[in-house]
Amino acid sequence: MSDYAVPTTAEVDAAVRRLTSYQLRRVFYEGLKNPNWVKPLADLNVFTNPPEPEATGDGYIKDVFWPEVSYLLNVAEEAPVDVIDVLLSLEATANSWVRRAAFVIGAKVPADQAARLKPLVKAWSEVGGLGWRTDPRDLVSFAINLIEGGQKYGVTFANVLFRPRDAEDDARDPVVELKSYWYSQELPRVANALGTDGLKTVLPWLSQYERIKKSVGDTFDHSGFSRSTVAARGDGPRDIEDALIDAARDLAKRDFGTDPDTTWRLFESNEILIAQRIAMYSMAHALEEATDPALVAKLVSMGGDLLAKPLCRDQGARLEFVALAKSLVARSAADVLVEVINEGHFTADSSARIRKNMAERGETNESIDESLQRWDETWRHQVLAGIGRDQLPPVLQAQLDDLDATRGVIERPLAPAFEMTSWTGPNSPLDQDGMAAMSPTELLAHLESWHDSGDRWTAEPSHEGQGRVLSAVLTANPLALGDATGFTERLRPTYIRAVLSGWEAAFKADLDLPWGAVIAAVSFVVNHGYASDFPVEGGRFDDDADFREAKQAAVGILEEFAKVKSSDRIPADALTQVANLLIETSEDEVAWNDYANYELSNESGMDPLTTSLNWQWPNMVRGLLHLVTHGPEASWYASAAESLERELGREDLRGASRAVVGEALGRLHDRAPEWLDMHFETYFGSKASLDRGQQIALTTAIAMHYYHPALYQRLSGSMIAALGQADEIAVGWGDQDTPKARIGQWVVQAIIRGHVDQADPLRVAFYSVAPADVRGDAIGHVAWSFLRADKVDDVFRDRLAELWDERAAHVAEHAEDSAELKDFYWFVTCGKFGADWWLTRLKQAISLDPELETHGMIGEQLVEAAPAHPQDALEVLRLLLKPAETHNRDQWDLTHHALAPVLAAAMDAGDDQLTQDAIALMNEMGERGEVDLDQRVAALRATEAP
Amino acid sequence: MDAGDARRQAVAEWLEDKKPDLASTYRAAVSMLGAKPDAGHERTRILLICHSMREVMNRLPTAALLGKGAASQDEVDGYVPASVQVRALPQLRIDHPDMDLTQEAENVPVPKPAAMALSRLIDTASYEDRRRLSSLAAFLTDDGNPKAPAVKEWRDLSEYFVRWGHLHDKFEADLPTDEELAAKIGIFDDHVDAIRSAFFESKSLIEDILTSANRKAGEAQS
Repeated sequence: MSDYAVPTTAEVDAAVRRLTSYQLRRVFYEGLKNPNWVKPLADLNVFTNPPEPEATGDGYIKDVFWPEVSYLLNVAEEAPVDVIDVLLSLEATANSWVRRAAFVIGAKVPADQAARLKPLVKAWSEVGGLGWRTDPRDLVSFAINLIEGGQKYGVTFANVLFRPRDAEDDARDPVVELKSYWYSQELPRVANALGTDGLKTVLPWLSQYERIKKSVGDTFDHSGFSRSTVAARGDGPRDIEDALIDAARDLAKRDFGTDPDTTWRLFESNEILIAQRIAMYSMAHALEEATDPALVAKLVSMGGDLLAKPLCRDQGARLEFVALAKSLVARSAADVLVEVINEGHFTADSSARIRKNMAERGETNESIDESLQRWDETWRHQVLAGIGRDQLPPVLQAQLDDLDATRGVIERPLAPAFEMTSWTGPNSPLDQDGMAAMSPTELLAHLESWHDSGDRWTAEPSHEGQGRVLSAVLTANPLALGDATGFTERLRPTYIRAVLSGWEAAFKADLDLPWGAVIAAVSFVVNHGYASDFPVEGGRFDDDADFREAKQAAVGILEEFAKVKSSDRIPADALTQVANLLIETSEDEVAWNDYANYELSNESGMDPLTTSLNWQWPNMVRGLLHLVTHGPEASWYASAAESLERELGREDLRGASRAVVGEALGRLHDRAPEWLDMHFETYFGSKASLDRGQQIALTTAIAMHYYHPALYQRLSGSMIAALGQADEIAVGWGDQDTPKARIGQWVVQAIIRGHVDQADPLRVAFYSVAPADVRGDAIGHVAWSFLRADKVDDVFRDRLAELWDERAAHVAEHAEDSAELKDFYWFVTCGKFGADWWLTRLKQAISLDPELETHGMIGEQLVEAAPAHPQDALEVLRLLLKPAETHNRDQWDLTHHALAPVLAAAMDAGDDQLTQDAIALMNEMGERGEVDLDQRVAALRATEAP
Repeated sequence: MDAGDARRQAVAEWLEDKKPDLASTYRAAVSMLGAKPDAGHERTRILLICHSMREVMNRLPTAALLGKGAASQDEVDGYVPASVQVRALPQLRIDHPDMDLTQEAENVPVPKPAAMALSRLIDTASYEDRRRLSSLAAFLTDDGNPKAPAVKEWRDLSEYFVRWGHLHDKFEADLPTDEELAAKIGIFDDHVDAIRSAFFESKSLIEDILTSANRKAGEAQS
């Protein structure tokens, strides 16, 4: 069996006696390499009891690794008989590690031994499957091992893995054992292993797949519809059908060259469209490669028969038809092509069937004749053009010339008819470079004259697609349409919207705009009615039906121009016109009605602030607020304020306008304080009252603004009211947890900046009303913000430290509030507090909350602290690792980063008791799986030794 | 002190920590084995050694588990040990003088009190067996696996000591040698040593075992 020593019974007994724990079994079975131990160990029944999976109650399954399986894997190749014997005794186990190992082993032991696993695989297939942990590559390798070893069971198992099966619910999705990705990755391997049986096996899988997909019926054949060509296509993702087509194609290419008769018969017995396309493509390839005259003659004969088949003249088979036709012509076999082309696209049967169907739809004979003739001509034209004039015999050259003359030359005859592999969005007839190269006059003429003739089946160019390119061109060059005015009357609203969007983007990119043209265009849109004079072209979303979206784009660009920061870049007269246009748009009742009457259920949880960005009316309100923030000196101030107050007086159930007001709070405070003073309570509420709209304004304001003492003072009353809300508060931006947490962050900021004292009403309210976890979030968030700061003043840090001690003292007296300590790890991670400070607090926090998590964030800090504070670091680590099942993330951080260095530091400290404590923790962690911890600690100590 | 003595001393100290009586009994067994038998008292010496070891093996799992905080299972409500129930059986003969359990029949009628007593006894014996097995498994393994080889070996060893720890009516031809007894006690020592050792101590020993186990044929065993 091997050159390893044969163990004595006493030796095996003595070894097994030492395996008192799971981790010791791991050490032993992973390290044992001697294959002569399998039988004696089996005789001691060590392989009889893998742990069964247990439901954990939270929807997961706990499936413990079985250390013994490591040894079986180690020695399977050297002791295959013994190892397979062991595996066969484990039929009843559901342990996924055993199932996984069985296939790994089955893939590498001699095939006759692998085949002995058949009953095991059968039993597992019937109960529980092949194992959720089993690597699909191992399953395939197992099949390949069997196949290459001449075991019949190999093909059977390959069928288990790859043969499509009907879904239980009679759905159209075929079921296979492997996931789609693995199916497509692994199919070529098994196809190769099948050798000469490959095509015989794979082609029926493809037929079966198409049958289950119901893509083939008595009167139709759409098999392989998603493949515009059976030729190889890049390395992109492939689905099961693609994988089967590719595998069948590669096998057929090989087999037509080596055994054409058998290969031909296989395709004869799989008469579906995709199979015939594969046959044509593969035969063409074989013909190109063939050198043996007898083989060439045979393939030419078969090729002629193949081309003549009705299925092969299907429009969907055009590219493969052309490929085979070219190969035949190259082999001087053009006669058959002439014959088929002359017979035409339709056979008599198919022609009769189409006539019948069309007649039933009420079409006249004349119309039917015309359609059939047109389709036939199209097919012949595409095929002949695809083969290429130079390769055609004279008679077909004449036909092609006639067709080119009457129908126009086909520029890309070999372009796939369709590609459905991905959706790339609307297309443009011109790409960005082409459009950018046009003069303004040319571009305008092109936009004006281009019409959408898309058939809605293909990704044909559309107005929308062209509009997107136009936007991009104007973003890069705002003068692409020149600086003349008046062009807007000539363009459909889709393009006007695109122009405005492009200019807005260009403005944001600090480019100068042709202000005369811009103001004229915006004015045109604002003053235009909603109806468009242009008939809509193309499909849905291909062309704007009216001016709604153009008007929204106009408000969008006006809002951008109205910002105070924009005013330096806009000529004064243009800015005045911007203000006037914006005020004018505020009277657009349609915009309000569109916004107000929209079915709320369609918004799927969109918050008011996000809503405000997507609708014209609230965006107009945003623009008016910008105008007001220019201050009373602005000529438009009074009109804008009047319009703003009028619009804000509407009953806005969706709340977007209130979110806009909240968003503007800081600007209003700085630039229009008088207006804000006058309206503050109306829009932001007070301690006594906070209605829904005010809640939205408040929550948006505190979510969007950093802490500011003046805003803190202004909003204190409203924030106290919000904290006291028994019902859910209306949130302008974020989720339900955001407002209270944000209030807490402001409170903590106010405390550490020394802006408020213990008696501050908001501080008192927050710490008496907010839930403990929200209080924890608040202080943790501020500690987190220290992490991001290059420098934190000592006074701020010390005030935060004082606040922590205050809160920890509170938790010490109120154990139910322990969640307030949950984010202490940020104090450690932020690096702004000394180790002597945080080690003490961390120990205290753990004692107050033994389940405290550190979110995998403090391992490195513990390592840094350990040399100077070995005892505290060890104690903290021991406490954090105390729960037998430490949270995964912490477990990794603490054991991977901190454990060995902290133990080493403790052992190097020269304190006997500390060393003993470190050794005790080391042994405890060894039992918990850190089986190499002794070596890691020793390595560190050796490195650190002088 | 040689390595064997050192190990036995370590085992005794560990037993001392669990239950001093067990340490004392173990030391007595080892001491008797080390002493020369008085002529004519050979069987008695073996009986005392094996009985001592049987007692240690019998009591140790519970003592060790109690040390880990496990509750005494004798405290289960209504539990009457099988040995106590057995002592009550003769009374059934007195109460039911006509009861004949040896009748030549497939099914034998039994008075209800006797049937109930037998039923309780069977249940209790099964329970005690399960309890012993479960305690033993929990003592010898960290996953309480009653099928672990160590559990079977411990029980076999215990039976060995029971056999030689009692006198029997039948003639006993070959008494165990001192070497055999020393080997058997050595197996006990192995088990205790494996349980008492700290993790990395055990791991180090297992690595030595692996070095030996993975040797090629012809290489000397370490």
